[in-house]
Amino acid sequence: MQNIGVIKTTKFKNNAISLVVPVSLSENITGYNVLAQLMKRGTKNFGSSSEISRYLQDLYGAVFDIALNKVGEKLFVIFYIGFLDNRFTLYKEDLWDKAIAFLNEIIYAPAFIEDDFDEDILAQELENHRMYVESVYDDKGHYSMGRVMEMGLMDSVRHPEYGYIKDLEGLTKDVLIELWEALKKKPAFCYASGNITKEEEVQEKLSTLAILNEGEQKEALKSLGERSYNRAAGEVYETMKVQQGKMSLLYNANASVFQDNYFALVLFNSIFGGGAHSKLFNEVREKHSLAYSIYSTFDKFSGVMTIGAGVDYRNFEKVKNLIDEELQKMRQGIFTDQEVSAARTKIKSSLRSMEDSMFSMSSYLTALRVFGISYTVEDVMKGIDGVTKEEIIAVAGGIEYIAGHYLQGEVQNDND
Amino acid sequence: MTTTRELAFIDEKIHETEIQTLKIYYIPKKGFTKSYAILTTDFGSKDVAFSIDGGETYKKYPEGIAHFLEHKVFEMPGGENVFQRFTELGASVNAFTNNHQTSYYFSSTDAFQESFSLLLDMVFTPHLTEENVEKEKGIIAEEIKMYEDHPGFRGYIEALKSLYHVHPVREDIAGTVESIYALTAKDLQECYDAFYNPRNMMLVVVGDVDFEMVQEEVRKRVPAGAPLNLVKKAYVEPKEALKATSTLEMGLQVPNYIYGIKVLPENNNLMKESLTGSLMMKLLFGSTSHFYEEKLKDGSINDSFSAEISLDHDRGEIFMGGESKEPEKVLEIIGAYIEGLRHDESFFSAQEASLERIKKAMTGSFVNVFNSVDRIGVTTTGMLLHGEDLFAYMDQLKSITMDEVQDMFYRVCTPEASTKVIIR
Repeated sequence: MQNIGVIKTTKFKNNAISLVVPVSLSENITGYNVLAQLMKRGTKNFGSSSEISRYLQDLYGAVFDIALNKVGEKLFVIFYIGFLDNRFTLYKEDLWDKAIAFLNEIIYAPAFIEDDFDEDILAQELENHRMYVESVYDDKGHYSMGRVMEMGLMDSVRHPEYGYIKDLEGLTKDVLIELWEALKKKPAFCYASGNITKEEEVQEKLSTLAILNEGEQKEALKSLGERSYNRAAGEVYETMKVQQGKMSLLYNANASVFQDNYFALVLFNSIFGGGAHSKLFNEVREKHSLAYSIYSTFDKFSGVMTIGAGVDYRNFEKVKNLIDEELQKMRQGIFTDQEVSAARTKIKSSLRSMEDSMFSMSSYLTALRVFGISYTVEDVMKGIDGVTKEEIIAVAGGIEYIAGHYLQGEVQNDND
Repeated sequence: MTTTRELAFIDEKIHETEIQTLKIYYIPKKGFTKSYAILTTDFGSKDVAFSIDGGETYKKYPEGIAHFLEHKVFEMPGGENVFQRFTELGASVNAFTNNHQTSYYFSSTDAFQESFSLLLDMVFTPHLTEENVEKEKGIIAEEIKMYEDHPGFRGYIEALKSLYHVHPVREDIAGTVESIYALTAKDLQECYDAFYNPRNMMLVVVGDVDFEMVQEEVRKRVPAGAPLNLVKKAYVEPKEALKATSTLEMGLQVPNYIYGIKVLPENNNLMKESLTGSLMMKLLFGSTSHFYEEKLKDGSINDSFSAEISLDHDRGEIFMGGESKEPEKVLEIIGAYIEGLRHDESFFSAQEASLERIKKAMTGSFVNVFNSVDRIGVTTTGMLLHGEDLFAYMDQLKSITMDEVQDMFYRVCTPEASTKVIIR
């Protein structure tokens, strides 16, 4: 089946199944967050989350979670289970069937749909999610980055992956059951990795996960979608109880994985702000001692680039000017061939490293698949090899500043 | 001479040797794309007072000096940008400092030998000048302030401060803005000379590499260590926590709570004690415990709740924490539960099946460490530094009885050794 991928490798002690159900960010994101938590609170056969944990412990400490990730215009609902390969189980038991049956139980027989379900648990999970959203406010760097996304974007990419407190109100049991029904009908993607000798056999086992057959297998998105920037957002300065100022800047990269300039964007970002070798790190941190952490990053599926830094609020302007200067240098081609080649080597090395992590590899490939991109890791490495300096300059020329969010401290002491 | 030991049950082995007084461990991982090397000195944030002549007159250095030195080890003579060099080699380099160690590591997919040589050169050719030390102060001050805005980290430090009377583990690993501005290039050089002696260090290499080459590079690039007369100041901690309660105001929307217990290890077998402690914590507070199941069901806790134990030779801590709108209530519940267990004689004997199930799960988790070269490197280093035998893990785990778990509980989980911390 097209939506089931297999990664054969015997170098790990375990095997893993990663099942991804993409949901649009314009849907009831808050609801899907609560749904995922509820699905972890018990099933028909495992009455509580502790019962689930006991079962996993019995499977030699199998690892299971339902995670939510924002990727481009989508929220990925990820069902993940990792379990020991039968080469290492005590009695050579094979855990594939148990793992697949477990996922079936989690997806198709959640406890919360039952009539006798304890309504208190729903109330708890609504309250827990309220606290979770509130606690993002307590993680100041994260909060500031979330704010600049909301300020500068007007399409669905502006939404945080955890949703909104105001949307908790409408989340009744009936609404959540509707979301659960909708989730099961969505196109799903799955990767199985590990000690797989007979690919067809695993494919067949996985196809007992009805969601992989029954989901409406729609055409993949295959495009960047409609980005709508709020160019009037400007700069917002907010005051809070923080020791260190946080600055978050939003840019339209004018480049994405859907366009020809994607590989140049990857190189541009690496040279500009993608690590300890980058211009931002060396200029702002090493040369001017203004920050401990400064980086640029981008979402290849949405074409949005961001810069984040923790700096003394009194240096906001100085740091912003340095960032502008470095961007200007990139636009003018003031970077060496050595910088390009170092970035190239580093990126290719990271791509190759994914082979050593089942989770990284399957996440990377699933995301490409969801968006209808047929690249293999080798294709991407080839693409990176083919980028010219002119193409990097062209990408730099297209980077457009949209908005900035600045968080500063309430108590401003001058003695440090 | 190289010795090799095998752990046949999980198909792994470890080669050990010593060159230029540096202990070297190699764990081959055929078929892995990444290789990993981690070079560690037995010098952490707690080592702020020591003597280098074998005596008991200790010189005291500013808090945060080990971590500051970690930053400066990245300076190369001649001002070469070492990050740039590693990037050119396609390697990722980094370092960390904790209470008892400073480690430098990289991973690479190609050119392992070049990156490895660079790591050795970087660590064994210090370049400390007044100027580059001054420059670093601004950066580290921002690092300290970044952590000060982190509720989890602040809670952790506050809990350590409430538990300990004198032990320097109660200070932030990075020190304070004041302490780091007080230190000088000379202080750093003295610490470097004392602790960056190969006799006080170890190297762990993991991956698909040529172990002969590793040894050859060490022979070429590492100066043999001079005899070591290093004495770290020891600290005598009372059993009791310094404070029973503590509250920190950070202006949070959702308060954090920590129930901490100071643990003073009793025997010399740290691995066994750590494993017994882990079993105890999972049995009493893990996701399959009665406590967790019951308190999650009645809404007292949520899935932010975690319970951990961490032991060192001279001290250790238990932390139970999470987020709650009613942190006082949760802390009361935890305290009452422990008190109840102290009077419930049948509890432990009724948990035999759970203990076996938890052991089975811990076995699986241990095996899974060997899926990642980075995790193998860090885990092995940590265990070796503590004098723990990686390959004894399984046998030790199997051997622990419920009586031992129960004894540890009665010895460790006392109200006097406990503290309750709220961050709001």
